[in-house]
Amino acid sequence: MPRILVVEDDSKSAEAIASVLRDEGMAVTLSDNGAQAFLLARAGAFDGIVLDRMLPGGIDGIGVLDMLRDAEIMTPVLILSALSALEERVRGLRAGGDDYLAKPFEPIELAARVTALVRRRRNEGSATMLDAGRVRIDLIARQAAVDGAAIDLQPRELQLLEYLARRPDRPVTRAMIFEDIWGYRYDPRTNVIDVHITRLRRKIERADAPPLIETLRGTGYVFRGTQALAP
Amino acid sequence: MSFAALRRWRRSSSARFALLFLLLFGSTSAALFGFVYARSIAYFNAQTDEWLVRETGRVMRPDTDRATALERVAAHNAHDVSHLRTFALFDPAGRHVAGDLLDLPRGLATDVPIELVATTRGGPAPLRLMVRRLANGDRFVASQDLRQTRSFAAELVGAMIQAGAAMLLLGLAGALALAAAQERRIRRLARSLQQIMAGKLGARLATSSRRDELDDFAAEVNRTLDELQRLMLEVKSTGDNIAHDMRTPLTRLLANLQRANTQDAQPAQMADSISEAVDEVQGMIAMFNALLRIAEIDEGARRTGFRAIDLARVVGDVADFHEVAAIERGITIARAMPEHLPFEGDADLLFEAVGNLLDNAVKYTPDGGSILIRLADGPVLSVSDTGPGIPAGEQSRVTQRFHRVEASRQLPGNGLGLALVAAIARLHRLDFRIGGGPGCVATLAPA
Repeated sequence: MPRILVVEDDSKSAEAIASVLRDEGMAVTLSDNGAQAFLLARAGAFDGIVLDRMLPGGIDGIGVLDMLRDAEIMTPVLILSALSALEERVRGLRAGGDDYLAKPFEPIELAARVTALVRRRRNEGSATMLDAGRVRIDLIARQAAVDGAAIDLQPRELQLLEYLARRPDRPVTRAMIFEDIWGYRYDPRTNVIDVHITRLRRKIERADAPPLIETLRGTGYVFRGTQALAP
Repeated sequence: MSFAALRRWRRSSSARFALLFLLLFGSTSAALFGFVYARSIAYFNAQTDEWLVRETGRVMRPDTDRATALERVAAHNAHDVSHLRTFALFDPAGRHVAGDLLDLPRGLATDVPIELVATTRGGPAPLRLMVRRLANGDRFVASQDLRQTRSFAAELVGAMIQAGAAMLLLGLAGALALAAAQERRIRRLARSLQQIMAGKLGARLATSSRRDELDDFAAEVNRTLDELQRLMLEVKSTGDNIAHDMRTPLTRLLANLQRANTQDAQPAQMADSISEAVDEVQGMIAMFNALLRIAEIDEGARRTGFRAIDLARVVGDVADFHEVAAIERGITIARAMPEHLPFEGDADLLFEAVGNLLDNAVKYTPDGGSILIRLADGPVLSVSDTGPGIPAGEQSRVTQRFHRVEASRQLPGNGLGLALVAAIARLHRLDFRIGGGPGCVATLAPA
């Protein structure tokens, strides 16, 4: 069970964040100030930290992050910040934050990002083959196969499939897909990502088999292809 | 004239200027007059002295005897009918012998011009005279009656005083009139400003045809007021629009929640209602986020994210991202752009701006239409489509917050996309313009 430290001074927000993460099967420890957060993070082996940018007292979120990185504690950190201070994002990421989420955020977005944060380190190995059950991707030859049959995919489609297949049964939001695959950061309020997914699904899914990609209404997608089809 | 008006005038800078000028002009005039007066008198005296020296030297040699002297005095005085320049002779005891001058004080210096008042045949008169002592002890006197010169001088002074008084009066009146006129103009400006303050936002300061500094100032204030009015209207309409655009989703949200809250709601219906409610809330959050982002971008805070980027790559990425949506509807996206175009900016924001333009283009272009993206040095970027375009009258307004072309109201969107593009363009010192027809051409170019 991944252990997450949530540093947030507003107790209601902290409880809301904690319950979202607990629903995802994570163990949550709460802290409402920077000094305590640093001590907790240093003492306990957390898998991830959700850090509010604004904290009361002498040490704010960036301060905690600086102290952690100075102490060579590399626990992945997701920074939460008010939207009206977007330039803080640049500072937060520069200071060693691994991800960033602006308030107000949707719970599912937070859950998806923390999950990604915690698993990031384990996933990106140097394997040459990605085996996600029904989907297998040859990472060298850039070739995908679904249910044993090779599928011809455009580079972007392959990237998309690889991204989803690496996160089986975990929701990924449109914003995450956009950021990680297209490399730009903002929340594109368009249905273009849906179009990309639809085109990908048309190529990899069959009418006589359960869907590989499930749509989470209004939010994102989940890859459901881990169970190989019964012959 | 009331006391308050006087006090106001004392404070009036134009009155002060006029009075200062009057003082300066008055004292200069007084100095000039003094100079002219002194020079005139000196001139008269010099004339007189020249005559005195000449006559005494020529007419009366020291060795002249009394008979000859008498003869010359009589001859000269007979000749001088106006009795202005006369001769006289006194014996060594100081008694009058001949001539117009009847009495000569004793002990006067000789051979230098002297001014004094003495008794003459015509009564006491101011004289300028020269005394010469003859060898026999007699004293010969040549004298110039100064009454005419004096009255001329008095006349001169009188005229100068009158002219000075007239000038002072006129100047004072002018200063007050000037101050009053200026005062009236400023009162008028103040009244206009009070009206504007009281809510008549369209009122402007009146300017005259003089184009003086007050007019320049009024014009500057008017420009400021224009901008303030524009901002006020924008704020007002933004407020109105937020209220208006919130009402519909809030109403739907309420309906969905009430539906989910009913006793006999089926789980499936409930889930539907709740997910629709979630959609509404997401739409509202998106609208607020867009508004906040526009405000934030306008504050220029995001310039911290500026770095050297390849604009051609960003635009290419936007085209790649949106192309699938176009292909789905049979729309072709053509590109005319260089391979690289270095630019200083925020890649995320530029992607968003160009993405919005392309998103709009895809949204409004009919199936099977075409879109052209052009990028050239400058940078000049244009996105043109074969859609219905935007009516000429609305082209400049679509970049304002919440403005939506009437025909597009039923399409999804919150009317903030182009305002966001405009804000991003401003941040990058680019000008965002919508033109074209037929079709729509959105252009970003250096301002």
